[in-house]
Amino acid sequence: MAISSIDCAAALNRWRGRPLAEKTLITAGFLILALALPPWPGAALVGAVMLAVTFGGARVPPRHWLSVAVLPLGFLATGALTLLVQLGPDGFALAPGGAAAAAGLALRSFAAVICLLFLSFTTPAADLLSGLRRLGVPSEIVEIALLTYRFVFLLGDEAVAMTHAQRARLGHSTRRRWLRSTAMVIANLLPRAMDRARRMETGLAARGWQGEMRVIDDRPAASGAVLALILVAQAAVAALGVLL
Amino acid sequence: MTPILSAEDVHFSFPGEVAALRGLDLEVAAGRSLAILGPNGAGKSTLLLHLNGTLRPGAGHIRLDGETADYSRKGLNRWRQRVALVLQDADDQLFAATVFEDVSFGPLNLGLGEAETRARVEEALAALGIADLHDRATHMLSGGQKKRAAIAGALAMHPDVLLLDEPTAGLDAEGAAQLVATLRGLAAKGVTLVFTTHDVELAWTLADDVALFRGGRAVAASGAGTILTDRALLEGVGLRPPLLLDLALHARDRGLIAEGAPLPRTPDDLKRAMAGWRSGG
Repeated sequence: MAISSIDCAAALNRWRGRPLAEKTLITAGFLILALALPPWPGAALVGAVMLAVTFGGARVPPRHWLSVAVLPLGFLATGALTLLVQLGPDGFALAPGGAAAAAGLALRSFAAVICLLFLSFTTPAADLLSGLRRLGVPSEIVEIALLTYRFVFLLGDEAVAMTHAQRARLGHSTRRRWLRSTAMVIANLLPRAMDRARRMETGLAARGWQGEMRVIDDRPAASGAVLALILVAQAAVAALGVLL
Repeated sequence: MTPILSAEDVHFSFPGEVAALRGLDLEVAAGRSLAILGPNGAGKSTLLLHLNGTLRPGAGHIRLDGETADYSRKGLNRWRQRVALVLQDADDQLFAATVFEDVSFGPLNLGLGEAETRARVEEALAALGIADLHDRATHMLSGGQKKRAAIAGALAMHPDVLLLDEPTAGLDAEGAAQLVATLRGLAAKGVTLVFTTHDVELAWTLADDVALFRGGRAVAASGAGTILTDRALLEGVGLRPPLLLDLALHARDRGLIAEGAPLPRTPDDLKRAMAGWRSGG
């Protein structure tokens, strides 16, 4: 499951404790560079730097990263391929300059995806959400997002358990049975989610919940020096990308 | 002495279901540990939800310090500050992203400041032996760790009474033993414990008093030594005396444990007692 491998990496990578501001600055800065610099060598450089940061700095396990990245990168690659050909009066033909355009588009979009994957693989969802709160997003919205996120895992576990139980009783042995069994799992998840929500409300109320989910945010503040260092690195990449 | 919590002729039924509680009487003595012992479906969990005001009796009364419970918003807040509840499934209780955040939830709801809340969280995590899980994501903990985090969340509110629904359910032997040791430590510090269980061994290890439940009523309530040695009574609700207690009584009958001496509550207690026995004794 893609979301759980992102979640694991986000919780276990070496930079999990780094302040959110540093990681968002890295992501946003290099993302802008990937879009603004000429694809060669600018976007390529950005991509290379971000891969180094992801695997060398944050030590994200490459296997996890690859299993998630293959989908968007594959989608972008096939998208870029279509630039190679054009539909003329004689049917399909190679597009003039198509190879350069396809390579440029692929480089740019790969670099941008690598930037975004860095953020998702190094930052637990809760950190991102608490960042939203600090940016002034209403706490109700952040709380609902956080609870939804928590429930995705709880219900995911339940769905997996139910599916295993069905398989053990041959519920997936034919296509028809598979369809029927899967429909039953889906139908069962809703009442289970409701039950769980009700029990969770009891648990929250027992701890004095009055409609507001306040917790102490124990995340470190960003240091100015590190932020400045990131900006310097980005300026260097920008200069190289333009000058080379 | 006035019981800290009591139930008087409490009746309750869930909508559309048979009665869960039918004329329940119960007293919780301050500073003691009470096991609510009974088979599945006896109304044990429903009782716990009454003892912190989550459910309201259809008939009868719950009293806190001898006074009829106050179900106003303010009354419930005061009540839940003194009587904390730990649900059977810790996943129903942990909602925040990290252990630290989750445990900070209760103290903040008490209106405590950040410094005081931090101190309470650290203290609760240390008491449960999970200070190292401070920053861990709650959904990446093992069952035993989740349970401890959930108890820490309740304990950080400094309750007088801790209600626990099946505290060792779903834990492996090691996790259960650690948890029992922790709960014994809390009881020794004066926290009143009320826990539901169908495990007679757990009741004997942890409880000072036992209330025997069947069909939504407490059919007997007394000291653990009295209830748990009454074979006929226990068999009436489908239970048996704890093995440890059975062995200890056998040893006492043979003169190996002096009359009036405390009976062993844990296997280690029994081993210590056995160290003094002469072979062939």
